[in-house]
Amino acid sequence: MYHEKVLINKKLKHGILFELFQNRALYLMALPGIAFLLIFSYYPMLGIQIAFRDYNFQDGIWHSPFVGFKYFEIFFKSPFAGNLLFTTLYLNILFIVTGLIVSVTIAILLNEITNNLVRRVFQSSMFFPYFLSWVIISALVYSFLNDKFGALNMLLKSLGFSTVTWYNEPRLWRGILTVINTWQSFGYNVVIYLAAIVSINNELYESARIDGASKFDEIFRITLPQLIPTIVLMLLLALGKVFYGNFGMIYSIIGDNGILNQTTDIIDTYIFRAMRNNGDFSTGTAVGLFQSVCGFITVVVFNKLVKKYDDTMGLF
Amino acid sequence: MDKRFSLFRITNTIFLTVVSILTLFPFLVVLAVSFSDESSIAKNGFRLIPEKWSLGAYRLLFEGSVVFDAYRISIIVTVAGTIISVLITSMLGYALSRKSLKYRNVLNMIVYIPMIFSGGLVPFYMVLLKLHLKDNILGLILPMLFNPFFMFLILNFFRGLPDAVIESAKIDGAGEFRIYRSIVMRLAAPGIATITLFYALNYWNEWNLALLLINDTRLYPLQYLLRMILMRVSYVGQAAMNANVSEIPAESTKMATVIVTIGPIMLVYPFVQKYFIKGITIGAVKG
Amino acid sequence: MKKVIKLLCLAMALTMLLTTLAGCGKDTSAEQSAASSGQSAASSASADNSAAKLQEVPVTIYVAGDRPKQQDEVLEAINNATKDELNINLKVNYIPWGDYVSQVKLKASAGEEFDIFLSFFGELSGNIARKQCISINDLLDKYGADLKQQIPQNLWDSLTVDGKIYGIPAVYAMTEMGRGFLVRKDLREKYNLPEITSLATYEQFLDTIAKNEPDVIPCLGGDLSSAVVCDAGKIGHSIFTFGGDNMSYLYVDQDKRPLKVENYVETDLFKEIWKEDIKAYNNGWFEKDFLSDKDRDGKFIAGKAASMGGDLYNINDRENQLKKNVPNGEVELAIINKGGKWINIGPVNNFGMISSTSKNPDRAVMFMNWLRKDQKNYDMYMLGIEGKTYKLNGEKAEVPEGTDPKDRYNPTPWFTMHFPYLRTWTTDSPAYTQALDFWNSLKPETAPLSTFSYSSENVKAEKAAVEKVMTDEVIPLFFGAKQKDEDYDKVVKNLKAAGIQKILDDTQKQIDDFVAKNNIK
Repeated sequence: MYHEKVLINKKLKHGILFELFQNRALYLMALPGIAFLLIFSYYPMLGIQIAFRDYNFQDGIWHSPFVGFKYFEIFFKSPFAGNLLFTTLYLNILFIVTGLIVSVTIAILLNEITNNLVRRVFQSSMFFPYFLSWVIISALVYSFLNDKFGALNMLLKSLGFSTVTWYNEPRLWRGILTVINTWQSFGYNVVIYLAAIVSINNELYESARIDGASKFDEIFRITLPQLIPTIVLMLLLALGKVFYGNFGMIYSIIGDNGILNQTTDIIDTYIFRAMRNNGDFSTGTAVGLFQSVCGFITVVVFNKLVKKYDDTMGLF
Repeated sequence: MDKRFSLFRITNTIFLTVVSILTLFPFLVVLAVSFSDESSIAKNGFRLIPEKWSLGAYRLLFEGSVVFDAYRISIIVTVAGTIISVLITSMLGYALSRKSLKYRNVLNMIVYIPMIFSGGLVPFYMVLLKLHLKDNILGLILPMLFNPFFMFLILNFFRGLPDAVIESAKIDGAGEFRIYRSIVMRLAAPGIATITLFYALNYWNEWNLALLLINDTRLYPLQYLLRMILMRVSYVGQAAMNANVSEIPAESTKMATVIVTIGPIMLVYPFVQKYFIKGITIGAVKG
Repeated sequence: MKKVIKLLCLAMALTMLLTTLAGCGKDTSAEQSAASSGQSAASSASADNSAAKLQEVPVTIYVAGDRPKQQDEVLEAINNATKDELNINLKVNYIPWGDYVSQVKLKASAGEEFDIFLSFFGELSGNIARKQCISINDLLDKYGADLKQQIPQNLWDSLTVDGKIYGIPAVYAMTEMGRGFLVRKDLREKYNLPEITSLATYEQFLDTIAKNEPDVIPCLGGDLSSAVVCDAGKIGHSIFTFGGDNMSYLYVDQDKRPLKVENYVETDLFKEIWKEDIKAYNNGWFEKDFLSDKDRDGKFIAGKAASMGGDLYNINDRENQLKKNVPNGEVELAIINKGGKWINIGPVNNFGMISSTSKNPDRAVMFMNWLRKDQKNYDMYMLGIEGKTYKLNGEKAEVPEGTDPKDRYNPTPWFTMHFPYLRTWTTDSPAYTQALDFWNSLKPETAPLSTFSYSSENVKAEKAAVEKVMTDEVIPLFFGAKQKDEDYDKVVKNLKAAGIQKILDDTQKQIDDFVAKNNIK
């Protein structure tokens, strides 16, 4: 038996087949997930070519007339392309950074609550906003910020201040959107960071305590460093989407209010609006492809940087 | 406990209480509006304590068996989908976490790319049609069986596990499947709990697939049914002029739909949460 | 356990792969036959006519709206009643209004088989360019005798491009619907104001409300343009503007010759309406933040508004819902310059189309013909089963006892709406019946471009840019939020930078072609 193995080893040490055989159990475990991706993700990717075609329904994906970069031009020829790109990135980075800081801080603080019941109550209530659809959230925001009947203006009025027509003030809205986004999603991310904190080996804390470390030492010397792989992972995953705007949120809340558009209009809402009538699949696909390619390049670059810093981190 | 920490404890508790109230507050508003009499909403807008209470919105929603049927569909889809999804995802995650797997970086890449590139709705829908998923309950499960984001989450947890435990199990003669089932799944319990929760939420909240695939009212999942109620407004667009507008849902009905969908999750969540609590992992490592 | 998991893995992976592969094989043939069926249907149908017994085939319709509870029951009744004549298995699928256009496009593009779908005039050029529908000239000749007889020629003309008919028009009141809007009658009477028939009477109403009812918004939606334009002292009827999603930027004065397209923003008319909207904005007739209004209908039915855009089709719902919150609330339809000239500016907006993915276009047209053949057939689809889903009370329909009026069988009629067969309900509001009678009594003139179908296919990039200037700058300006002349000049400059001239040139060419083809003088 031993001899057989050695023989095979010598022959096929570097071959694919040998690797597949050697780790057949692992590859078998990977198979269902990979098969899923092949069917539901990779096969439909053939559709990306719609971006380069005048898509019609009878000729389909393969036979519609090829038009090259016509549909990319629609976006890039626009005098607004630069500003839209900037707003998309700027808002996303605001969302990512704010979200990260808030979620990690809250997760660490939650972990310090020793009473299980209290902690559960806190965590549950922080999760609530995640369940509200953007339609509902936009109704809540509107009932709060509306000029004539809104709660905030009513309050200002009753305190004797002058009211603000919130929906006519573009410079406030990047901030407002960041607050809404963070408020809606941090509860979800706290679950991830809290699970990561819980998985940290308790012995680390015990030995630190023996060394007389304070609570703050524990947080900054143990918890945070141990969280870094998770933080890096979450950042890398978020970066892949950094060129995609949060369409559901922004379109539900801002809608077609042109006054606010100068600070809040992103690529996705622009394309949606531009293509609403007579819209075709080609433009959407073309812009989507552009966003994907940019996101992919960003991730590959950052992945390289992260790996230089620590080889065990990074996506691939 | 220690006096040194008590100040930190108190401020921390107060701070988190404030944060919780801020996140809870809108929910309380939604809850209150759902129980309000519609005419008092018309008069006063959204209020935390309604002038006149009413169960009208819920009575309207639960009229007939439609909502109950939708609950049934959603529960079946969520339970079945979550179990299979967690299995598929954690197996792939485990395989990719093993350094002995030579092509793990290639596979990582294969999993990662679909997170960024997508063929768009048209070809995706073609695949669904080819698999005969129209008006088929499997159509609400199969297309969501695997999520790369959750795979990377769980992979991250598996990577953090001590190699020594797995190596010693191997020396004891355990196969990969056995290690996966009896060691890894237990050591990474907080991670598994997280992706279970997230998958369950995904299935529970899904309405897009129903919009694409389901015409049969008996197969409507809850979220889709309630979204239809929520969206029952005049269609602003081409047809606005001639749209056959159905009754605009009252504010109380809109909010009641929110409560109806979140309700069950809020009931189940505290039970899932216990898996995030310290102790399980450490016990497993030591034992 | 180990084995179970292993087997599970394999089984799942294999089934996934196999189903896809099997699907692939099957589908290519299906695709081909679907593609060719469009052309072959007409010829195969002509080969052997009606005499041979028809085989049962499914006919599927996509419409927007909510599925009525009684739909399946009614469809079964129709299938049985038409067994000899059509032998179809009719299915009607509903998609919510807000999702409808994009979903139907998606379904057709992926090759899903269905036969008939509701479409709108704004989609027509896209439908044809995308090959989403088939032309039905031959099918109509063969099976559409009643359709041809029942539907006036000018409506067919709306949906005819290059001699090919692409849709089966709905027949309904559509002349200058924008000339009317919804007004709270009870509020008007409270202050003894005259009926609103002109800009002056409307201004009087708005001003009185603004001064006396601090908690009521005088006008929802912030636009007085139709009141300005249709006023007897101005043009007197609606104008022809088109080309935009949120707001039109192309304008043709159809009283002048030659027909020339203009940049609407640069017309004097635009400036005049702008001045009026500024007045309204400053006097508090509009909400200051109406551009973000999330709940226009909700405010109206809550009694927080005195008037809003809307037409005769909205009266019943609005009044019913308003009465729940404001018991003495009443809704009426105010019409500007009622006795003046009425003109058919636009084409038919709603129609049924035969999908290019249809396997049985012949049977689909036969069904559409059956629907319009007589009152009895139409009632069977729109009202359902007599005695069960409706009762007849003279010429009017009545909700049967034990059924809540809001739960009555109420299918989406717009793919085949037919006014000559339309029955009013005993529960309808008098304001609605009045308005309906008024519109039915109109003898409108037809504007030369009423059947002109505009296409933006050649200027997609410019259209996208112009749309953005319209949304971001023109709309806030037009509705009074920006009031200075510099603002106006800047807007005009930006529209030029976005390429509106290219759109104008392209449109002018389309109009010239249309004029030449239709011998318009």
